[in-house]
Amino acid sequence: MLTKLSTYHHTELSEALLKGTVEMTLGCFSMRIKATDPTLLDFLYDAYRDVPTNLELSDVTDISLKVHAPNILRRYIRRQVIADPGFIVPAAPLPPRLSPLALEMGLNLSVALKCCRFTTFHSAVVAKEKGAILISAHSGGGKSTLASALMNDGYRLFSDEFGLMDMSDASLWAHPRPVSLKGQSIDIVKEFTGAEWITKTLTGTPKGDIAYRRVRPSDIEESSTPAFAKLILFPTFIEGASPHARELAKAESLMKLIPSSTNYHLLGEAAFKGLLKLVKGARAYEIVYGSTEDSMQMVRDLASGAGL
Amino acid sequence: MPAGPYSDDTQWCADPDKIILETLEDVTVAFHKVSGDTHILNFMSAAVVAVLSEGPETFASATPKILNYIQLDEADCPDGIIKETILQLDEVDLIAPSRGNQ
Amino acid sequence: MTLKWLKIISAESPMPKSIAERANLIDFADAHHVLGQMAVAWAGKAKGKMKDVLENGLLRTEFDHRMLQFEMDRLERSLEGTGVQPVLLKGAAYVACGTKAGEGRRVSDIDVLVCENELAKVEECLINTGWAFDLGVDNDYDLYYYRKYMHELPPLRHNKRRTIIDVHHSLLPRTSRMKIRTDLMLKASISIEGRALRVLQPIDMFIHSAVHSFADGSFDTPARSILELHYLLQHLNVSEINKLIPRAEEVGGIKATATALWALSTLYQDETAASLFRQYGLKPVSSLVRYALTQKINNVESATFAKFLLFTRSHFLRMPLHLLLLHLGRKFMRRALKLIKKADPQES
Repeated sequence: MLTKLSTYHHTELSEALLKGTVEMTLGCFSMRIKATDPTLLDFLYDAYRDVPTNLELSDVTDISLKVHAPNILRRYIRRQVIADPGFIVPAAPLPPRLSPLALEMGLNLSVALKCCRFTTFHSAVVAKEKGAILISAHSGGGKSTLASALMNDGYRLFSDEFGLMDMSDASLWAHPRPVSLKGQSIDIVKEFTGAEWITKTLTGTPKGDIAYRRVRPSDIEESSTPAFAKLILFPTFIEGASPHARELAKAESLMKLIPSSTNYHLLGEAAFKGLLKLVKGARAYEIVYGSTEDSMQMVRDLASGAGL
Repeated sequence: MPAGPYSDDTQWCADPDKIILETLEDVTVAFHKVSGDTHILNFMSAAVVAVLSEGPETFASATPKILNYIQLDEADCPDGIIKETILQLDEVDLIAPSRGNQ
Repeated sequence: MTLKWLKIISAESPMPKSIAERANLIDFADAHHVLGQMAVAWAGKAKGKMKDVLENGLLRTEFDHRMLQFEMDRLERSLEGTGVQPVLLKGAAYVACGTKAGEGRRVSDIDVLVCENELAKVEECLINTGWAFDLGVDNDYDLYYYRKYMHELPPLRHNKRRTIIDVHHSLLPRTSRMKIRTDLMLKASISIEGRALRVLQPIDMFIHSAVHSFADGSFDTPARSILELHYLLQHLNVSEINKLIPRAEEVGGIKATATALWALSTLYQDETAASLFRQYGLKPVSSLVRYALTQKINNVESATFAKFLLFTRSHFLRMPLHLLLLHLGRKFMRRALKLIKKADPQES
């Protein structure tokens, strides 16, 4: 049952993708992918190389995503692809060479909007033995770069996009998809991880250059073990700024985390009670930094102060 | 903006079954179970909710009890602020006119 | 394939053995907004991942129901002292009175019915307590269209909560070809216990649902509409079933009711509907429209021609022809042209 994606031949994976029976399991969510465009294959072999995959569905899945042409015409003429997670996505169609972007975007939207088992926050989560760091920021807020740097510092990746919190005890759960890197971050991260971990750069996307850091085998192996947050960070990157941190009151961090959640309001009382536990169990800081090295030093200090 | 009609005789009260109140490091947080909204109560709102949880009061009867709770004299308290706070809390349903009064 | 899925969604048929089919069924239920209803029907019977996925749907509808409760509270608060008791319609009504059609059902906007002479008072109260005409209705022509031809005030949106209330005084537009006796249905409405709100009596609920799906709407949510009609019909006791057709005649909704019963018997194989249909020798709607309806439920995405047909038809029923052409000309001609082009690939 735990067959890596890389063990499958091109033809069989391609057929399964067309049928929509590619089933991947990453931590707490399983995904089912259907794709009509072959350009996705290279990306899957690269970024999802070590992810447990079946070519026949073994069960229904949490996420079900199709990447296909927006209509019959666009399948053959001036080809385009869109992500179809089962609801309408308000995004412009993309050229097929950017289908990995459609895939990643579609998977993100699925986690954000469909999955209600956890309270979901826009945040990166990494963890060590003693607990987790939750880095709360919206897309482009630098959390992916920070998460990558921490991955190199002995932390395991839970997710670079979503904090997934169990409401009964505020534990955090892993769903370690490829880390998305934009613009300058690509080179920054390549430097400290090594270029062999980063996929080919997608150029000319609506958000500039994008590349992905492959899912790490060690992160996959440990992806069913939860962790408790010991440190909550709200980072702001300002070019050239001198690094500083401000500790937040628990009520402050509660009120900052609420709007960063995609389903807090929907989940109601259980989410409130879970979030109370989360903020009570962790120290929270707003941090401002101007470079990755600065942020890393600050985070190391804050982490050790928080018992990590 | 008021949530509905009221008068000087309206008896206001807080329904403890609808709200969860939690104190985080001396800040009062209120969660409304039906609307799903989370509110931070300032010292005035917290006092209003506390007083009105004990029983229905009109604007007039609530004022001395609230002032006592926050330990201020009427002179120290800006005119109309208690009434304004009550109306704002009515808007988010943290308090409401006592139905027994209708 | 999708016709038999409706029965699985209501747990009146067993789950497919094939996992791939189960996965497709879930996608279908979710896309048609009936995942929550499926979750309720399968409560206690689903296990493992299937349970997780159904739970997602259920949580969303539980949220909808809490929001609905809050909106009803706010509506009552706003109208306190006026003596007006609006009649809830559709989803909000089903949820509020706890009937099967409301279990696991998604609800968003609230639709209410009031007497025409109460309309001004209701509008005044709502405007005074934070509702305003929805900015989507953003030009004078639309506002004018709503007031003069439609059966409601323009929708009202609350400025802080962003939720919507549609206030109707009639169940169909003034200019509609079909004349529904809203006054009779209002008269027979029943009070919701503990609330200053009302609902239609059970047989009128069925008739209204039929009118809404087949005379007013363009059957946009076919799976949901069929399930709704099925549950509403199931809810009627024997004496109510015997009164259904005469009542439908009385209120002017017989054509829609006949079509609803036809749809339930052919598309869902509902026994009660089938026997009523036979018993009264009812006539369904034209074969072209029946084709369109069946197409819609079978494969919503590719039924563009069917969609166009139903879209024009619903407008046809709402407005006299000359007004329809004028309206279509102004707003919808571009869209109608697009649909025609899509249905005919050579046109591109």
